[in-house]
Amino acid sequence: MGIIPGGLLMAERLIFHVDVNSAFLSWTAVYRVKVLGDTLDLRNVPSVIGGDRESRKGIVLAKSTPAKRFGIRTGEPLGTALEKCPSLIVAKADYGLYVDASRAFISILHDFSPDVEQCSIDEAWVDMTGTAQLYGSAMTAAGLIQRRMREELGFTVNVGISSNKLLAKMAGDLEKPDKIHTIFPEEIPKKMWPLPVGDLFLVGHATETKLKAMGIYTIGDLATADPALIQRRLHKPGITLWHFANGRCSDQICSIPRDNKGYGNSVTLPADIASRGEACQVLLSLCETVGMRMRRDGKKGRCVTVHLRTPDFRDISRQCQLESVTDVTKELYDVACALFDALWDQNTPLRQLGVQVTRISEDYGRQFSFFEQGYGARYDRMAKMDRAVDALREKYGESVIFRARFADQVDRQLAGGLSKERRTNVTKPV
Amino acid sequence: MEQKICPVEMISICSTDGQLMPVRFRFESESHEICTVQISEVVCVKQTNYVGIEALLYVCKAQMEHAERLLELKYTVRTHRWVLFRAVY
Repeated sequence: MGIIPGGLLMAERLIFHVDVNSAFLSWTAVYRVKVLGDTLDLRNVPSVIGGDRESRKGIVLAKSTPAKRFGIRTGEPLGTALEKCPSLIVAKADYGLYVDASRAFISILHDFSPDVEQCSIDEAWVDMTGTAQLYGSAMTAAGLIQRRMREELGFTVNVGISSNKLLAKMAGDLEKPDKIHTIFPEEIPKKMWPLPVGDLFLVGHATETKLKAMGIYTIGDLATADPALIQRRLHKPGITLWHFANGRCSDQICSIPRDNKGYGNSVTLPADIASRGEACQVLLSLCETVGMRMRRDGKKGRCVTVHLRTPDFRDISRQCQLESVTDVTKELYDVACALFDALWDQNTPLRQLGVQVTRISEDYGRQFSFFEQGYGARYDRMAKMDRAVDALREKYGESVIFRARFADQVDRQLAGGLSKERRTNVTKPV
Repeated sequence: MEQKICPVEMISICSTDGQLMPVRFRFESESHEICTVQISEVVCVKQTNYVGIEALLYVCKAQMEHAERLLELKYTVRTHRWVLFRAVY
């Protein structure tokens, strides 16, 4: 405890990270048992929540603890999972249910503290600073949260406790399910440093490979490494990771969702495509979705990225900086097509295409250029047209107006993103 | 074995203070007969919110097939649907 002027005691920061165990699977299991009256609890048998296999989105979205023992991993194809465990029960995802469960989950957290930052559909940080008088020790408060989740909503959660968001998240991931763990700064060498470096928050597969090539295998190795060396190899993000490994994170709990850093949509196609015409049509539908989302949020972007995935799951991408920020679908589409032409060998079949716009700003001014081809005067008119189309779609439905190109497949004019029934704004507007 | 819940048609009383009380219901049996059941007593009511689905669970006594039965009837607030959740005895 510190003392602030006036003689009042100032409590040290206390942050909880609350994470639903196997969220989608838990929620489906509880729904089946408690609402539908089934006797079989999916959490106690090898089971997974799977995507739609027919539209080639058949991947494992969540798995039960018994399924984990068969080596089944989140994100792997359902076919592979069934090979590992032929008796595996595959349940369909129910996004409406997950949204209800998520809202109830966040609502309970709000009973404990006004400062709740939801970081995904099933995870949130809670600022519990100064609540000792209300709930007792941190462990007691965490136990109370767990109990309320279990008794009222029917599922279990992990609670990580620390003095900042990063350490709370790391503590929450230490052991699952239904556990409470702490990693306070003085516990870092004992609890966090022996973990593999890949377990550190924000260290993905590519970064892990780079770190291992430098002889850094554990979080402790990274924490004690020379920051200059890390910066040379991993640049600025490397320094962030080095601070993370030392348990330093200055992020505050932010109850209001942060602005998007980028707007991107991708689509896995029902069948591979191998012609430019088809690919451009998909790119157009993606640009429609991305542009519409940006316009709805009143944002514009300067950097366009196109990414392609081949049937053997090889990802390639290319990006381009624009002269001026834009949210015009046609302009995004033209840039996306140019990037696509530079990227694609005109031969390899494509499984997935994606378009992303980054370097977002609210600056509405447009720098017109003498050398701009075609857009100069037409830009304002195209922007107006896009807004009119958005307004029509908002009022009368998405299929009320479409480009002639999509005349025979109106349902494909807005690719990517969530289907209508899944657009719920539970985390971020999608 | 999976236990299937049975949707029912319900006559209920909404009191002036917002209390909802089941009175009589009917359902289609496995042999496709319509069975009507009069509730003789509401033993207790429990409010549930599993996975965020707000519901009221009524434990009721009723005469069925010439015997007293203890039933759990559930009312889902959002969908306004009643189901026979299970027969305790």
